[in-house]
Amino acid sequence: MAAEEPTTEAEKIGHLKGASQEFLIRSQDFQKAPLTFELLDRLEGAGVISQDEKKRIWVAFNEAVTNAHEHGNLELLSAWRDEPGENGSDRFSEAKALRTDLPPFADRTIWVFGEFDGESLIVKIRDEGPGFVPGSSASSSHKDPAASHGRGLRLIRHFMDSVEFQEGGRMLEMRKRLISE
Amino acid sequence: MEFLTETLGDKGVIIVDADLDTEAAGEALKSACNSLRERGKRTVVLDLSKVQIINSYGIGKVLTCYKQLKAEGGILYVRPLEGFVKETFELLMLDKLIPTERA
Repeated sequence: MAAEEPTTEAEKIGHLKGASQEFLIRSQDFQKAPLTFELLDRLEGAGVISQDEKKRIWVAFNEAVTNAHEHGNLELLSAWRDEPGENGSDRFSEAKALRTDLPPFADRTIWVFGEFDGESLIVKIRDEGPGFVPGSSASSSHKDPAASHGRGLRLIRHFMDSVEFQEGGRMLEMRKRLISE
Repeated sequence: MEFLTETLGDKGVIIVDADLDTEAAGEALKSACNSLRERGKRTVVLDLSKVQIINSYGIGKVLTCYKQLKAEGGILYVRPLEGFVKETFELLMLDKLIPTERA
């Protein structure tokens, strides 16, 4: 006999408790396929998060993975966005295009892990770059609305409840409480 | 990907009909802004009413358009924002930088 589908909110939450997702993204393949996070779809489908909440978490997730790719694995500096490149674009864009296919940058991977523990969503993202010192320019947030960089981390910090850099800046762990007490 | 542009007198309007969270959408916005500037429009209005999601990359492209117009003595407006896009603009204080077009 097939298991009955959960119907109440408590049953839906209990059904998804412990649900997790883990995957690797190779830097060389980063832009070849759209980024997805199925765990969020499951949480929304079960009514654990609203569509608006999903948008906020999705953007935080997207920003964190993009940071791991660009600043971690490809070792691109935000300040390069303001510097002219050699081929008419900016230095950041040109170095990004070059390093996406260039070892060792291209061979590095991003490890992504997400889990719903019944109350919170926990997301861990680890890159294989050189890391950075938390509190340095790489992790600081700009308040100038016209600044050319710094917005990604501000969005992450705003949309998630806690954000913590670990392993010398190579791993980001962020949490969002989904079930109110 | 290409975004529709309209001209109303000396004003240009960009209708963004996709989420601004991918390189393709960002490049489409850049092209639309450049196209209007090349046609001499120095007042450009962004219609983001069909945008559900915008991230830092998309915001960066909006700011590039804003800065280019400003450098040429022009101005970038947005049509009244709603939902997640409005929340993000306010969070990043872009609402202080880019005025809302009044009807």
